[in-house]
Amino acid sequence: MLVPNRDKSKLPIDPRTKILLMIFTNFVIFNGAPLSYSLAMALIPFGLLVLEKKYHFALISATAFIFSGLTFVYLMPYLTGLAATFLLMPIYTLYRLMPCLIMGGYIITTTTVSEFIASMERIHIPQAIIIPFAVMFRFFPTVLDEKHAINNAMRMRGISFGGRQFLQNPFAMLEYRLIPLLISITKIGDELSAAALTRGLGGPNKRTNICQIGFYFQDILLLAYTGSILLMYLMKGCSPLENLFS
Amino acid sequence: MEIKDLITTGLFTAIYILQLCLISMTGVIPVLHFFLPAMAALFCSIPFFLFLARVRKFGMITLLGTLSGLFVFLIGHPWVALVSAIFFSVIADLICRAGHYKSSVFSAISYSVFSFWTGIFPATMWLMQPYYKKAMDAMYPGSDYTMRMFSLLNSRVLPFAIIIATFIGCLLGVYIGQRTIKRHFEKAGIA
Repeated sequence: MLVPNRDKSKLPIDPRTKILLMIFTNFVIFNGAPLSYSLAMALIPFGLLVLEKKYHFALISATAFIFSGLTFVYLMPYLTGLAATFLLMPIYTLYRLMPCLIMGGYIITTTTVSEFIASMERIHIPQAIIIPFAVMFRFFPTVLDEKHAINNAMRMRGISFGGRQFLQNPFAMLEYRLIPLLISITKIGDELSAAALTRGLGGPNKRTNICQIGFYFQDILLLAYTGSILLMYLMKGCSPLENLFS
Repeated sequence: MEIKDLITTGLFTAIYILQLCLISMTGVIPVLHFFLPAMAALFCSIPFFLFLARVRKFGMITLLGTLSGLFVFLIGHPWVALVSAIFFSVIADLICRAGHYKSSVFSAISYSVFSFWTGIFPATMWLMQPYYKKAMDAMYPGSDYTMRMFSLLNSRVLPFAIIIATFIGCLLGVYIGQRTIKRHFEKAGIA
């Protein structure tokens, strides 16, 4: 959703499929499926990332996954007590969470805002959710840009982390950064809403969208694969909520 | 809610989530992970109070919470996070509504309630504990290692410490947030 334009040569996967994949993965992993199931689920985002030619991200996440797995298995016997609880619980959580996090990274980096809006409108999600969600994703880069500019300006005045002023009053740092940021962001927001109104957002007519979305062969394949894992898991007789709150 | 309010909501959600991400990066240091709610409550108050001052309509805090929950779910956190976000934000919204979106006391309580939704991040540890135990038992059967490991998690001290820390974070956050809004934004005519 942080990508403005889609490269046509890459595999088109419907945003709805991606969200369904996410829900399936999430459901299986956080209801305590055995590790084999989450590994089977983890294959999907890895494969998709490689297909999307995001080798860098795939490599990093695979390394994190394997590293946390190995740490969990081999380092655990040597740690006891407090250190174990504080270190290994997060590592185990990371180990289990990784498939979901990779899937999340895949969704965020490969879906465009327009595609997302088009597919959400197709399944009749209310405007009250679609509009803020789209605005939110449009604003992430803007906020980071503004933050960068403000940081530069502050550094010119000698206000930086680790400086004398920081040591005197750490909260002033927050104030000096956050308040200019908030003021400029609210200004940009006002301009954006004026621009959006001029373009007819919120008007009574149905808005059109240039994105072509729909379910194709690859969507069906992916959903069949994850769906069958989910089914297999449910068939084993694991009630979803029973594990979670026991 | 009008289009303008929806856009404002999206904007403040973006700021809120970015701040939350920055804060959660400190979770790399193991102990701090447990105190993410407290730090979030402390540092996210300024955008929240500005947001309250900018919209003043029923449903906006719910929307902020729902969107944050959705985002957190989409990047791969447990679905319980979404439920928790919606639950706490609806309560926060109702409290704020009881104060007609003007009362500073009600909005302070509302912020404190809203802040507790981030409690789901450390709570994941507890939620995953059964599987963790299972995995440990499978790997090291019959050892009391597992029990020792969980002595701290099950000691009831940690949850209380987290809740109290979050509460203190809320108090400080409310103080900083409301003071900042008065000092900077009301003068500038933005709030």
